[in-house]
Amino acid sequence: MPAIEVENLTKRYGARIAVDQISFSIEDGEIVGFLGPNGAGKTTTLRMLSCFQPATSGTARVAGYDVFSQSIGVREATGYLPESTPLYSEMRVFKYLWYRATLKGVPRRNRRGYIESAMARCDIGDVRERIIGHLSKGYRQRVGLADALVHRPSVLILDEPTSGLDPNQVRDVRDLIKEIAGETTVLFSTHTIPWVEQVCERVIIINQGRIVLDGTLSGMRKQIEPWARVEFRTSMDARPAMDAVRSVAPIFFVENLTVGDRTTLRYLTEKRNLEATRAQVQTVLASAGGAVENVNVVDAVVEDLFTKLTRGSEQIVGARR
Amino acid sequence: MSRLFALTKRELSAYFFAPVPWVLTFFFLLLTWYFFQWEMSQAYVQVTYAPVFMALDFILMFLVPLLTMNSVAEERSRNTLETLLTAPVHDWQVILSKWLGTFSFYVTMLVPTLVYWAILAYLGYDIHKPDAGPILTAYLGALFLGGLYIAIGIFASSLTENALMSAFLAFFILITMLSIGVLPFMRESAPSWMRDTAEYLSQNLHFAEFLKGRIDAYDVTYFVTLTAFFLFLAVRSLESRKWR
Ligand SMILES: Nc1ncnc2c1ncn2[C@@H]1O[C@H](COP(=O)(O)OP(=O)(O)OP(=O)(O)O)[C@@H](O)[C@H]1O
Ligand SMILES: [Mg+2]
Repeated sequence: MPAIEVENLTKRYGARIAVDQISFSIEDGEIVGFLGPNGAGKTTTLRMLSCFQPATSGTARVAGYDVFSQSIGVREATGYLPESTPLYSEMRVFKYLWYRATLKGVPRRNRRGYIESAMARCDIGDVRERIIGHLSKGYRQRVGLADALVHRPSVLILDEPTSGLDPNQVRDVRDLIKEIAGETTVLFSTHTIPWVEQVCERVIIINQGRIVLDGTLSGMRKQIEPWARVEFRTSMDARPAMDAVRSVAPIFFVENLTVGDRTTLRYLTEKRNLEATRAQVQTVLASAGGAVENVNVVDAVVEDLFTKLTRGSEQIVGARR
Repeated sequence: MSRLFALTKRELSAYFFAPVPWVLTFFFLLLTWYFFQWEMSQAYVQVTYAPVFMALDFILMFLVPLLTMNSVAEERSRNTLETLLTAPVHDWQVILSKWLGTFSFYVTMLVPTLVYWAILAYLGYDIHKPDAGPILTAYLGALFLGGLYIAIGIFASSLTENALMSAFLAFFILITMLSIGVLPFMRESAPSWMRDTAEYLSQNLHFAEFLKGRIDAYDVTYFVTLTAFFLFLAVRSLESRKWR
């Protein structure tokens, strides 16, 4: 029996469709990264799975329970970390976890042990008597995680578990998820591919409410093999240069990597037409009054596939990094 | 059961550790003290302190909305509603615990007024003993009245994420209920069924019965039904997130 089973799940807010007939299934013990750009529908989907919001149509089962008709069963079996990590800021960490463990039905005789091990896992033992509102963002995030884990759920649903964490803490969360792998099914949302690559194999990518990819990272790597990243510099301004490059048909998307005053662009295209495409780029830039310099061609990375799938036709990108 | 208890305990401790409820308690005691000492200054002999209670439906109309305004609204505004409602608890448990928590705090607000009883006993020596019957029924009425007001406050709080808005809404409901019972045109010119309905719906006449030392099933039913009704509405309003 799959741990999470979603069929034609749809959520509308008035006329706006936030989640549009998505279907997927996650096996027991699997770890799955749920990716998508801002507004893709990740939070909406996870809220439906955690029984905070009902679907407009479609069905979902979590741990064998229907999210609508057997929601208490789902909620007992699930640990959920909402996007904003809401906490009672006036409570102390241990008291809060005690309260949450009670709500989630952890028997009194096990409660202290469960809380201690959740705190140990999330490395918050040193702040147990601190007031939550006085903690840093990273610690609060980890208190939220400990709360999600405390009743030892068979399914974990984490909405952006690493937002607001520093690189060390991001690594800790990664290790934590890997540690509970196997015994627990984990579905987590995030924006960053590189992080997913360190945690799990399976990825579901959602864009504008629809699933655009449901597969493995190795499958994605296969898909990007025939693609190349071409990076170059030019004396032109970034915006007209990007518009020019974008007019070349075989190019998937252009990104602006400019740092300082020298325009640097990167585009993604297929390797097999590489020479022809490069020549075309040279031509369009020349006719716009610029030249292509310092060209550098490398293999595409998995993130490029994500960008290609989720950017659609807009191709609006600002300077990055 | 342990869940309802845990929810209620958190609710009550939220009152105990916040400043506003204590400020409200202070004003509550100040006002009741004012009515008490006013009564004591009268020439006649007192065996109860009814004026304190007579003002209660009015005082609570201001205090309870300020006490309950955060109960659900704050959970909404700081998103803790999401963690709360994704825990395996029923919506009715959430609402009932908010009522129980607030009601317990209200009882702690009332307890210091028992001092007036002691003062009365002390001043009356052995000759004019306080009349325990009407005092006790008045306290019982005060519990019913407070319970109803709190249910209305929680219902108002469940409708919005803005605490002040919810306080205003609760105040509006309470003042409407109070006025339909006292508006003169409702008393004389209106058809009798309308007058009866208005009088039944208004809290002050039912409450007044308790002050006279009477516990009537009619009045108890009124408070219990209406309290349950507003709590029911609050549960529905919590559930309504599902249809948005
Ligand atoms: N309560 C709401 N009322 C109306 N529209 C909403 C509501 N909640 C979300 N939406 C819309 O639904 C869409 C999906 O939002 P959602 O929060 O699920 O995206 P997301 O993938 O989690 O984005 P992010 O990465 O920014 O967290 C968005 O267009 C959003 O504006
Ligand atoms: Mg989101």
